[in-house]
Amino acid sequence: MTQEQMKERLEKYYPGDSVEVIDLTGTSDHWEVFVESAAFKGLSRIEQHQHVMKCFSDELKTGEVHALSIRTKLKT
Amino acid sequence: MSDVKTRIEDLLNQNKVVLFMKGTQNFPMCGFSARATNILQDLGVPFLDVNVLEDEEIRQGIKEYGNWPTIPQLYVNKKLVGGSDIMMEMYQSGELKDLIKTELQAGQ
Repeated sequence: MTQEQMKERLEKYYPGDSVEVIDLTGTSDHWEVFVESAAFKGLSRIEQHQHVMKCFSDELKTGEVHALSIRTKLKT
Repeated sequence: MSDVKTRIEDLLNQNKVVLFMKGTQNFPMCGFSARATNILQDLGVPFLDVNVLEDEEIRQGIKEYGNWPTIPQLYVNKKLVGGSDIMMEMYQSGELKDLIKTELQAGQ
């Protein structure tokens, strides 16, 4: 996936929230993403990460996204 | 799925701290697995390292077991703690040390 596609995917799942996508290694498969969203309300840190990973469940299964480092923040 | 689930549960039942990783704690084969290993070693926590590269069944099974699609994954007292970034966050805040201490004492 490209950085743009990653960003669009997040924006689709977190409309109107601030999202960031960083290519950690320049090989388009080691990514770091940051999502600040009210959708995390009531979710533990691990549930928040699972929430974000669901957006890429296929790519994570195929390995197209090899590594996904996640930072989340609850938007209040 | 059932027998890999049993295999996973046996591992978790017999070991308080289990790190499903790529490679071994002495020879981690991936950056994130190395980071997770270093954190546990720095905390002086003995743990079982499960090399998923040598066990495809566990490699896929563990992802479904805890609904966590990436490796490494840390389990303490049969509970999923998270991947290397959650471990890092908790390590830096001191939360990981406290969690492991509490969980290990809970078993004694």
